[in-house]
Amino acid sequence: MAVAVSSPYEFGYDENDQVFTLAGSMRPKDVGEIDACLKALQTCARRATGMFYLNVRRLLQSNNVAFNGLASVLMQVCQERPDVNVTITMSSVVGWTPRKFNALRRKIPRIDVVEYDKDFYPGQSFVEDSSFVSVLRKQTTMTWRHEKHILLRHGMGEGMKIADICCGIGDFALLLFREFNPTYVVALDHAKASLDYARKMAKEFNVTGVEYVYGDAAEMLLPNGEFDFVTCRHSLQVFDRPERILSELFRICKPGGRVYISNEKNSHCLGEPRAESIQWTYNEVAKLWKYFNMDIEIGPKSRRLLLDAGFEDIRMESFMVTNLDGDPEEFADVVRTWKDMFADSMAKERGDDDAFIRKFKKGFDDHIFAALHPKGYAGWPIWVASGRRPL
Amino acid sequence: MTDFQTDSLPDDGFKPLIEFDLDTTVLNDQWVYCDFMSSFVANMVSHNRADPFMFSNLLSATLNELFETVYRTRKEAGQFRFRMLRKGSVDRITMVVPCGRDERQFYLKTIEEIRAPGASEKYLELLFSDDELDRRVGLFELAISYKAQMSAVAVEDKAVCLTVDLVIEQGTD
Repeated sequence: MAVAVSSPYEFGYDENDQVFTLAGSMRPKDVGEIDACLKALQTCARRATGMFYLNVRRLLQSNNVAFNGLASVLMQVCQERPDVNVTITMSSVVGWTPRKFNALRRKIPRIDVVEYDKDFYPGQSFVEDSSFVSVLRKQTTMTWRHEKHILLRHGMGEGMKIADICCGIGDFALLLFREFNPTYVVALDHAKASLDYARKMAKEFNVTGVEYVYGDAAEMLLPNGEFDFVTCRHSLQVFDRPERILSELFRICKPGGRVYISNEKNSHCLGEPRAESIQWTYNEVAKLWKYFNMDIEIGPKSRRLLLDAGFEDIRMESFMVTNLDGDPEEFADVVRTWKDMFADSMAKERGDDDAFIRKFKKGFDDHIFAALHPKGYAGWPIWVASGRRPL
Repeated sequence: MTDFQTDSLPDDGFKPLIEFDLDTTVLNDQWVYCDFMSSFVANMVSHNRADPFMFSNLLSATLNELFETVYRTRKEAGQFRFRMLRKGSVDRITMVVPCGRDERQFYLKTIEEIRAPGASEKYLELLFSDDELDRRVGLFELAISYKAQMSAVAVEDKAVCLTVDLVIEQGTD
């Protein structure tokens, strides 16, 4: 995509997808200042066939002069070309856009307006549910025992400026704040219920150095090259295009800073006794996530993903959360929540029959059995990897 | 150069956040100051909101429309005074603009129009106008789209004081 970069805003056109993209801040004094952009929009829209897209997901600001100019072009195109429909994709994170573009939709019904974030996260509704909070908290408790040591091997140190992207309920950010005494932590997530919880917890613990912000990990409003250390845990597996998130993590990381990711390979969850049933169920979990365009097997692919995103000095290791780490009931609670989410929500939504769901649930029950068995062993493997943004 | 005393204006329990004075000649010359000032103020006062980025984005959009309105309305020589105050989730913006009779009338009349029936339709008419954009659109936008409470009063017969109460983030205290 060709992008004009000489002004505080950028525009470009992807002919393949018929997407005209606007980004940055458009606050011209008069419409003549954005004439080149408006002419390009008009030309592209006139050449389009079928659906023409205007992407304003990263148009952080627009004054009324610019908006009026854009709206005039789109209205004219709709008038001239009855065969062309216009879809405007915006982000709920950029607060001003719904107010203005929904007004345009009401004026011209052939112009559709969609919130891109909602379409981009195919399975996120499962994990944006506030009932998922308890399992997230337990998971963090269990993984933190390992990660607080691992992080040091990946370049984490004191006094850093940190971004925790896809922070969920924000407990990892709080732990980072306490353990590593950073100068500043920004924690971003797309789940409002989780952020509400995170802010409540920060207030309860009297922590003021962590800023929780609502945002789209694939289109963040955070500035370029800002952070010494960027974390993104258990999240690439929730998106169908993890490379989009990685390119954003790369962008906000300082040159020389590091991006740290952790992910799972759920089919490698294990337990004894009843290993076979456990194995079958977690293999099915992987297939189930794939059905919803998510890759719960992404863990070992982390190295390749980081290299492809342009990072260097990749460090990678894995660890196993087990029933022996702490209270085995904690481990069992996490598996119980997986069972509820995977079998009762996701498998049912996929349309699985009762016989499958019974067998599917049995593997989780057997994993719990192994965790609580006096001689049992139950494990949940995690892969962590980090890469340095080149100087 | 005229300086207008606005400290005596009642603050109703609002606490000051930020204020500055600017020579109107600077504001007349520099369009980009509208963007600079709105971005700067929005960043400065958003840090302790529940969602600082969203808050800052929306506040910057509203402030910019106010500054652009002032820019597009002829001003007398003097000091343009900006104050921002806060009480709970309400942010109060006051702007004292040195201006002549016609300009004072512009602000007073526009505020009247905003309060009159049919203001929403008028806002959309202005926003999607085929003609050159009407300078009233910014004030209409604040009232209609952002549900701002606005008032305008003449100050010493040589300026107008515009007061805008905004709730950008519900429930923030």
